[in-house]
Amino acid sequence: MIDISDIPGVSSGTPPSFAELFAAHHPSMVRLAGLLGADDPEDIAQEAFARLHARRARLRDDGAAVAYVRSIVCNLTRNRLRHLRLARLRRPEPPPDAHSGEHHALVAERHRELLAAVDRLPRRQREAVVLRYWLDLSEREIADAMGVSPGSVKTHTSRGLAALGRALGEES
Amino acid sequence: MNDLEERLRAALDARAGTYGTAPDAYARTVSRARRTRRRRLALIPVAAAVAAVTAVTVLLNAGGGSGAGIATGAVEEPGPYRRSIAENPPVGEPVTVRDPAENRPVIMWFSGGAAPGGHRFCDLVQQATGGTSSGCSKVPPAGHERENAWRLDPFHSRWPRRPVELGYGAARTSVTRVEAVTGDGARIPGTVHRPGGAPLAVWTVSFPADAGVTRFEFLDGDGRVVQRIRQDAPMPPPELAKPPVGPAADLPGGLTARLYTDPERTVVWWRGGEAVGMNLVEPGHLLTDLGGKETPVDLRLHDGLWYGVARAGTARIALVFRDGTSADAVAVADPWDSGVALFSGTYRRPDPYLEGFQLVGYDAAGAEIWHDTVRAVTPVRPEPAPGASGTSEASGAPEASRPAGSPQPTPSRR
Repeated sequence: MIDISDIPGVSSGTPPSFAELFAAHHPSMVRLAGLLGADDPEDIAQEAFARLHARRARLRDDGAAVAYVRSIVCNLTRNRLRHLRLARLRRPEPPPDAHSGEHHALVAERHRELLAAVDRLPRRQREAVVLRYWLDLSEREIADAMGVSPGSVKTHTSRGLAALGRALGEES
Repeated sequence: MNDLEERLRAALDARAGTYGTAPDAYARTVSRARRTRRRRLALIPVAAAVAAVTAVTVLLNAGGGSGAGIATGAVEEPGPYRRSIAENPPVGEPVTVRDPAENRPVIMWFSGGAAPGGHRFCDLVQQATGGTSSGCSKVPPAGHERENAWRLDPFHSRWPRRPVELGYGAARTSVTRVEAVTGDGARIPGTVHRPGGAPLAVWTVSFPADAGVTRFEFLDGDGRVVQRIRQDAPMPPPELAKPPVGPAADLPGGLTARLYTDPERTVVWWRGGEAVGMNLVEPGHLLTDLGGKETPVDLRLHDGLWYGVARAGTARIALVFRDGTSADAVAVADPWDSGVALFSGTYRRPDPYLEGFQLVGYDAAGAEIWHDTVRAVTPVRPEPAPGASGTSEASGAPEASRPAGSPQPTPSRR
């Protein structure tokens, strides 16, 4: 992840503007939404930053701003997936793939089995795994993003890893 | 770290790298944030009391902005409205009016109940290019329960300014008339709709952006003003906070292109002292769509003008309509070394997006070097089709029945 202090022209004593925060973190928020399974990661990220824009004055610091956006991305993706599941239950036709064919072509063949297993994880386990192993967040940060206790983060992560291990073992 | 963890990190990194970002993501986000802020501002009463407003907006079918008319022109029916009402089921009949600036429908309805979350006012807005957005706001908003009308449309602070504005929202059933009032006292009548089965009335009023409207007034059956809502000037966009860079480029149609570099390299198009459109020309995101796929042209088309940026090396662009007729525009290299060609022209069609069209780019030798097809847009409509709906009390011409291209209401004095 890009740290705010990495942004050119932004010293540690100068709070970054919304534009600077956006420039530094928007790409990673799009990717986070995508890794969590959002069908439109860009839309999720934009909505999360729009909400940050509206609430920024109330946040205590810029670290809180990034954590806030991250939690909104998790929430919006969760809600979107729930909506899609409902929509699929009500519609006989198969839902569109979460990822395009082009997307799959871009992902190396050797990751395919593992990523398919990630896609099959229960929602909480998938969130915990992505936040831990892609963003390298601490248990506390993951708990904040997911809106759960740090203890349950550990549970979700370990269960997710175990499920992935089983899936790979079965497929190999 | 064990082997599985290492493989997991590598796999997630590989997948993460496949998600591109939209070239106009910042502009879209600011626009979205502005819409949310506008919803708050519009609900602040004349007394300037501050209230929190819950507004949840979901982009249902991105279509506006950079390259939208090319990439996402068509709207699948019955998608947007059905998706919206699945999450926010209507209470009473929906109200559909025409947004005069986009020549597309706006669908409004109420959702929720008296308790515990209260009623919500929902709307579905479609852009000329076909994209739709939908959102719901609690109504009455917290802190505004004692008021009689609330403005809830997303258009107030949209930039560049729309030539014809549409204000709308909810009102108590005691409200029988709405008027937009200009700074010099002229009045533009609107419409109070009474959708069958709905808990509140819906009000709409459209007015020219340059009419100088400063407030909306809501009157009861006895002609008494029971609510006033201030019309604020649009917020200046962040792109204009700093002066433009480099020379101006004058193009056909009375358009002038200027480059702004903060927060991102953006071409802003001016006409008669008013900004009319913009294109993002940020390196790394140049002429790319939402998925990071390259596009040959980033078009703006409205009000008889078509203009934008195209792939470098383009010398001429043809706008080919469905019936085979076309309009041409000369393209010139941008004077700021942004790696694009600038173009502008005029057209005489009521609404090209409704019929679909094609853009064809030619090089200096006259050879075709690219083409892009824009599919026909289908206007959204409420489904199932409304049966016996409520009544409308029009203080003037009803927006719902005004055909595309017809004159807008003009101010009158009482």
